[in-house]
Amino acid sequence: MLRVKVRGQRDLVTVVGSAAAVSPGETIEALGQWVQDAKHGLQFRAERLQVILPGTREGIEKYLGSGLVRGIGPHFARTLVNAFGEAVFEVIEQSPERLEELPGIGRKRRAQITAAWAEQQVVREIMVFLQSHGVGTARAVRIYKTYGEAAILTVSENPYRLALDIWGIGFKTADTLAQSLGIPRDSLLRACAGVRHALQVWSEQGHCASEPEALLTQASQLLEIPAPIIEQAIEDEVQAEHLIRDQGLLYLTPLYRAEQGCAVQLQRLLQGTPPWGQIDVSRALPWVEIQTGLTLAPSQRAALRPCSQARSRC
Amino acid sequence: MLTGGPGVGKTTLVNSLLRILQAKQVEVQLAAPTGRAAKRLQETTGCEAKTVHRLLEFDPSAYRFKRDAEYPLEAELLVLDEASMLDTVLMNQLLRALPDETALLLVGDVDQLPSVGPGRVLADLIASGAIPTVRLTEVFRQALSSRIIVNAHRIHSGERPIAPAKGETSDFYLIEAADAEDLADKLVASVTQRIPKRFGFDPLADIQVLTPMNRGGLGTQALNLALQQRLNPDAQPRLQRFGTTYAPGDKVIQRVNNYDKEVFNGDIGQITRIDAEAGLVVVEIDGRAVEYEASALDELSLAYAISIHKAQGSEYPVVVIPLAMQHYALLERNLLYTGVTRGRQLVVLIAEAKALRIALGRQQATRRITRLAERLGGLG
Repeated sequence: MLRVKVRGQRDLVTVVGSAAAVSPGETIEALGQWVQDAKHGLQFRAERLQVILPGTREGIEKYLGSGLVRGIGPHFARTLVNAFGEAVFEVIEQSPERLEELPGIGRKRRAQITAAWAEQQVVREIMVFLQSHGVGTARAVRIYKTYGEAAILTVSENPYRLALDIWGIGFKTADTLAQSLGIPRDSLLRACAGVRHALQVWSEQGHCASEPEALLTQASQLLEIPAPIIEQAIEDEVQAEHLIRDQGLLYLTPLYRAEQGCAVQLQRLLQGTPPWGQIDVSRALPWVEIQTGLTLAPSQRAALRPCSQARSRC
Repeated sequence: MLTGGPGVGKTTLVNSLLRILQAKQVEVQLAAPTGRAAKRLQETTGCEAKTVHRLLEFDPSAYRFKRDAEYPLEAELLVLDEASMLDTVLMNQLLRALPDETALLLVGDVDQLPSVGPGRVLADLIASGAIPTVRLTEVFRQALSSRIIVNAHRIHSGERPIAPAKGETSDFYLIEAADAEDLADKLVASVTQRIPKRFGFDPLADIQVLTPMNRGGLGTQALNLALQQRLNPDAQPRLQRFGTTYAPGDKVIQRVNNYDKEVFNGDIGQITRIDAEAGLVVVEIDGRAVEYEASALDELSLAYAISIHKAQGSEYPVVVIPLAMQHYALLERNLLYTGVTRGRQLVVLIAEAKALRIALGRQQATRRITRLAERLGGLG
């Protein structure tokens, strides 16, 4: 819901609709119809809502200073508008060298501003896409930083990738996006990602693996997908080696490799020989007590023996 | 492996061993899972100690460790402290990078909370019986004068911690609270007035509130708001992002590893400057100024209060711990034990009687599913 100043209207107008990010000071174009709401009075129900670049000096200043463009704050926005008026966007895009006419703006600052402006434009386009599918600004920026300009394509192909690739985006966000892209809730694509997610949630509680029946129940509840589809998804994920079945448990592959790896590596290290040969503890003990000025207790003396003499294993 | 609780002389033993081996020209490396733990290890041994990530030379651009089986660590002995914090994934990375002839000494307290990440490596290694282990249990006489240590051991065996007699000065206080509201009032008064007045500790630099949960009236979020209002109410300019308002002077914690900025999960700092115009926040962490863009502020939280889990491997001069029935799901003996053993000079436990009773009685409510012990036993 937006409160909008409309030319020719004395009071602020309430516009209801869904849009990408809208910041105070931006100008919008809305297509739709006026309705009389029983509770809230006259409103404009927008079927389409679009942010357009502001036209007035005041609007431009607010837009530039809203924090959308890194390096430009409210103060500098005023300086820019005072200098270039309504042509300020053109200056930044087409003749950025003119920025250097302003006091305190050198080559470096100018480059910063043009870079930030360009980034803002690409980010904006991606945000419009992501936000029209319910993903918020901060996450949209992160998605852009990861996939770059291919973000829209990457995300629409398989939104569940986001959960694997982007920190701060979990299965839930990816899932919301998938719903709005029209991927069916009981599709195998969703079930496969969801099974991994259920195991991930489980491992966040400290577990390295899950019993198969427990995973089936959990995933089925969590995803609201019938058990047979989950069973199929587990099989597919095992086939794809995203999951490993071992010792009667189901593991996420990286966790399986880690657990198995720990055991194998420790076994390897246990077979090594000590790099320092034999140490005569009966001589080393009194020596170290003099060195440190501390007398070791019997329990510590007893402990030093295996530590210094174990065959490379301490 | 070397394990044992506080005051049993792990540090002295490690130092003695290091002296002996260094006299034999043995090349030793020291490491710990977190920055704060590594720093402490460095202080107690007088030798350079690194975080595991730094030891293994994490490469943020490739998101992997440079040190591995092909490019192993160069050391004859690796000593790894606070080993209870190592999860299965990091342990595997570390072990891969050790050459056959390198000795490994794992030092830790197996009764601490297990790692945040999956597994309970230290406990599994002990349970397997495959790894030579020394368990120190005798608490030294000088340590017995510390109520923190005595009470840590009492908590470990499920006994109620002993509070000092009225008027007696101690390093451990147990304050009873009637309910959550009473607890919150007593906590805020302790942190902002009573502890600074009576003991001269600084509420920001010295005192750390450690709570079992993030949510709820006595979770990190609510306590941070309450303490911020009292300890840093008026600083300007203020910047609001991701539901938190930040101001110069605020105590903050880094929540994730950020290799570009070289700040890591659990690092605590203080905001020194905010430039609202440029959307920049400057945080001083360990004497270093680190810049955050406003859009990256979700990497931070306020840190007047942090969770006990986040405090693993760190120590603070003063620790204040609320324990309430609203923490019910998480109340557990090794949670309280871990919290109490974070305090160096003073521990103040503010608890609802029933919550304390439950925490002392409950053990290993959450069993972790791993097969590491079996795999080790089976291979051995």
